[in-house]
Amino acid sequence: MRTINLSVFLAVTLSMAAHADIAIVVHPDNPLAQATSAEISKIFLAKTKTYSNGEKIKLLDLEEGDELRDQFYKMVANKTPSQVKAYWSRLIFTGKGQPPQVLIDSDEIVEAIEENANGIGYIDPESITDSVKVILTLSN
Amino acid sequence: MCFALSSNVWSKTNEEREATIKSLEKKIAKIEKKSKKRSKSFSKKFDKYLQRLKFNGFASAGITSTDVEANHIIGINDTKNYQSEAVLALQANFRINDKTEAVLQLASRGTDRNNTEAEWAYISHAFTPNFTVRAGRLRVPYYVASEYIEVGYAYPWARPPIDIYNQAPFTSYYGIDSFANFEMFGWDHTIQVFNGTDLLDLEVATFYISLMYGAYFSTAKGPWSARIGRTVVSGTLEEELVLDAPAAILASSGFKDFKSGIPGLILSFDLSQLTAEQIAAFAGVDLSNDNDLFPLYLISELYNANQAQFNSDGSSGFSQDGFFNASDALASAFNLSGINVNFDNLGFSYDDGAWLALIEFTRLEFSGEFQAVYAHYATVGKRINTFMPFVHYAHSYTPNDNYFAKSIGHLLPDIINGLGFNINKQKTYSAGVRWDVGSGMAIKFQIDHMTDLEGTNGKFTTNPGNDADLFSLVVDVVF
Repeated sequence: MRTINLSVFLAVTLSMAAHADIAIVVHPDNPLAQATSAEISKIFLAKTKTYSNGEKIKLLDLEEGDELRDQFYKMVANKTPSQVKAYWSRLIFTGKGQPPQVLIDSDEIVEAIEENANGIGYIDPESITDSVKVILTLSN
Repeated sequence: MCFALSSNVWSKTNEEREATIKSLEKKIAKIEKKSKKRSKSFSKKFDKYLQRLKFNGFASAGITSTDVEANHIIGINDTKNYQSEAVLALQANFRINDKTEAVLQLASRGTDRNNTEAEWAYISHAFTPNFTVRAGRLRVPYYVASEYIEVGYAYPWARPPIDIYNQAPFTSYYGIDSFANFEMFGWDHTIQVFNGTDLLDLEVATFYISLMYGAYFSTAKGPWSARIGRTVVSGTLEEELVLDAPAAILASSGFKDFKSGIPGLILSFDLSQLTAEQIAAFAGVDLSNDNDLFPLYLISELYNANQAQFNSDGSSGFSQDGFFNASDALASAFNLSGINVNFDNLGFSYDDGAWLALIEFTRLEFSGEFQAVYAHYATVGKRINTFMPFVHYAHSYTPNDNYFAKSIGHLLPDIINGLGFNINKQKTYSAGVRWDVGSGMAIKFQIDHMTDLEGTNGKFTTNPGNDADLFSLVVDVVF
């Protein structure tokens, strides 16, 4: 069951306007078949670092200021871009982590996942191709 | 020759000429392709190299002031101060291979006239994505925010609560640490253990931190997290620490009375049967005056260390020998050849994106005659768009008031204020607001009202009275 908790749902309905859906995608060979919003939040905040097969998760992010990015972090973690940045600065400057690789758009994320079976990203559903597997769709 | 060449060209048919041109074109295309490939592979290599090297940084600037003349331990008083919050740090992470990286963080601080120091400089190896070992120069993870104490952008306050975070005179060490992450019962746990040494250069003496180790455990689920930890520090003094303070106290008026009163006192009574008030009355010591308490402290030390001598020769009064023995007693009380300190910490936090709550309890305990220091704080903030107003309460205090700390603690160097040499009490009520101006930049304004110092210096190095306000306006950036 793909669920979004109530507070996230409310935050989203109250604050979101334009974008409709966000698809969380992985490589078709990835052991992750589906995920909850809470699990995706933990993955993108680097709390979960490996897949069930032990492989290291490769995070693929969009650039700061990208509308889809802002919406994604608000929906899964209820964090504004500043809060995401403050969170990562705690990890970077204590040597506990490096922020995800940044790509230009959804199409680039799809291409990157084609090349790396451990990649995971969030994309505009219009960019979905046969070479990625959707494990969660977030919608308003 | 010119003629011969042109005749050669003219001697070819059109078809032959076209064929020549085509073959030339092909050659050029091949060369172009090769050079493109070469430059592409070079830029790819360069990109890959760049990907291995990451630069990050943070900086703060601010203006702070208090409403009292007394000097605060963060180095400010009632004049405007731009130096205390100024910091700029650069961090370079160089990825050596998939699992190993070298990290250097250089910090330049206003408090140190912007001399640059390596706060972190280590090699880290991730044996698995969830288990990392680091060796080199590392930050001591005393408390929740200790490892990012200067990264203003990472927390809501103008600075981490002074009552808790300004206790340790050193923040980094040479050594090794490791941390492991694992999930259990739906909670994400981290265990970090560390071990190292350092040299602590104070103005008055050099401490060799011969052994420092510690561990902490933290756990988190959704908006909740908790952390518990202990850091143990053992230090030895490189050279004997000479204090001129006792002489000043010995010359005080209380000591004169003490000098004439003590032999009779020791001859007449078993000191252990008397109360402090009775001894004080006999020796003419004013218990309410901290400076006068030192002779009283000496009485008990002299009595214990030197009972036989005084009993056999009461008439000699306070002899030269007695004085030296008292100095020995003082030195042993100080135990300045070595000191052990425990830093204990318990912290909780809640952050659901809108509400933020932070609570921490800390306890410092020392070997020898030093004072334990307890402290705790609570901060609650609410995010409203780009603003987060917050309120904060902190309390720090020394739970036992012994004569030793009362009488000479305040004569010790400022830098070890709060380290248990002194009696300190303080409550802090704060209100502030963090404004996230844009991604990577925050402005904070905070007022701290410090009160209930109960005659101690609180977090000042000189006495500010019972109340003081601290104003801070700080800009924090990360990049």
